Amino acid sequence: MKRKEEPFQFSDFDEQQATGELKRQVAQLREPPATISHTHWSNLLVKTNRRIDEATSAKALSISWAARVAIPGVVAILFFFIGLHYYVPQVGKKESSVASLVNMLPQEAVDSILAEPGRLSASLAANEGSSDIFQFSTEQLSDYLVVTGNAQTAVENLNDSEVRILLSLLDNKKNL
Amino acid sequence: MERLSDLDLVNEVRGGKRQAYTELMRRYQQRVYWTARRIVGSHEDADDVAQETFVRAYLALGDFRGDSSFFTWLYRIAVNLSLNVLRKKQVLGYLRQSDIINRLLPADDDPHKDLEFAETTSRIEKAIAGLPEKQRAVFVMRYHDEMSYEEISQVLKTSVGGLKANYFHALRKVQEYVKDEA
Repeated sequence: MKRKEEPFQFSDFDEQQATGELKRQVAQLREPPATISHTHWSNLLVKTNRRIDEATSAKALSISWAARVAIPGVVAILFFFIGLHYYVPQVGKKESSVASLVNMLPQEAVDSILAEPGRLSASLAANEGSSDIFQFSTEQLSDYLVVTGNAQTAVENLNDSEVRILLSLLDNKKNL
Repeated sequence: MERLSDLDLVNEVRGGKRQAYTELMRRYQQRVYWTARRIVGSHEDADDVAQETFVRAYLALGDFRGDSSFFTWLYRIAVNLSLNVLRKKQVLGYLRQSDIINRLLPADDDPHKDLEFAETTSRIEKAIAGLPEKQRAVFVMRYHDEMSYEEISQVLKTSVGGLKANYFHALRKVQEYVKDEA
């Protein structure tokens, strides 16, 4: 049977009593209150004003524009051209014949192909799986990011909703 | 000279008088700092939150409609930023538990830093640091800043009943901690 949830009972009087009791306990500890020098507040004003200037200046605008638009744009264009370079058939280019290719190989390589043809086909089969150089497994990608990336910076740059999502995922993982 | 109200100063800032914003900062920077400090628990983070709060408020001043007081609006920004800092710390805490990333993150193992923190942190601050983020924020606003539940509700966008429950649990935990430490 579903238990009916009781409304939370914490009257204003109870709250005042409990808060007052805690304040008395804290007072009995006789800890000196944390103080911050007057200079700190003046510096805080200066630092905040500087940050406002930076945030509203054209320089800040260009930096944020570069971070949000230009850099990802350049990366995307770069990948596009690299992709074009590797994937578009080279129309008009004269294809080399097998004979001319064999002639370009050193003599030892030709001898080894003739002596052990099975070895060549095995190595070709092994390469076949990774023919697409832009295809990485998720594990490979995350390994790369973990090894080369700065996790702290990455976390600091997350926005609030991303942090919430990540946190709930991590919480779920922890509870499993 | 007559003391201008917050709203008058806001209108002056909107009219281009930057000096008026400095006056607003002077009025509230300590309250913003201490609220942030009690939630995030460290001076450096609180300092950063205080600065960021005023920067964001300045940039969003055009959106301030005056439905609530300027300070409540500012306070909301500060509390949300503080909670965001806490969440990021929590994510980093999880990551630090991972063996791989543990090696890549800068270690917080400066013994002098810990000592300094221990010396400057009162028992009540340590007790607050042990609370879950929501309870921590509610406790700071209710106990230290003596805000009404209605005001806290405006800041955290939570029902008054939920806030009372959070405050009750936070109060009990802090009391137990302080009692044990005494």
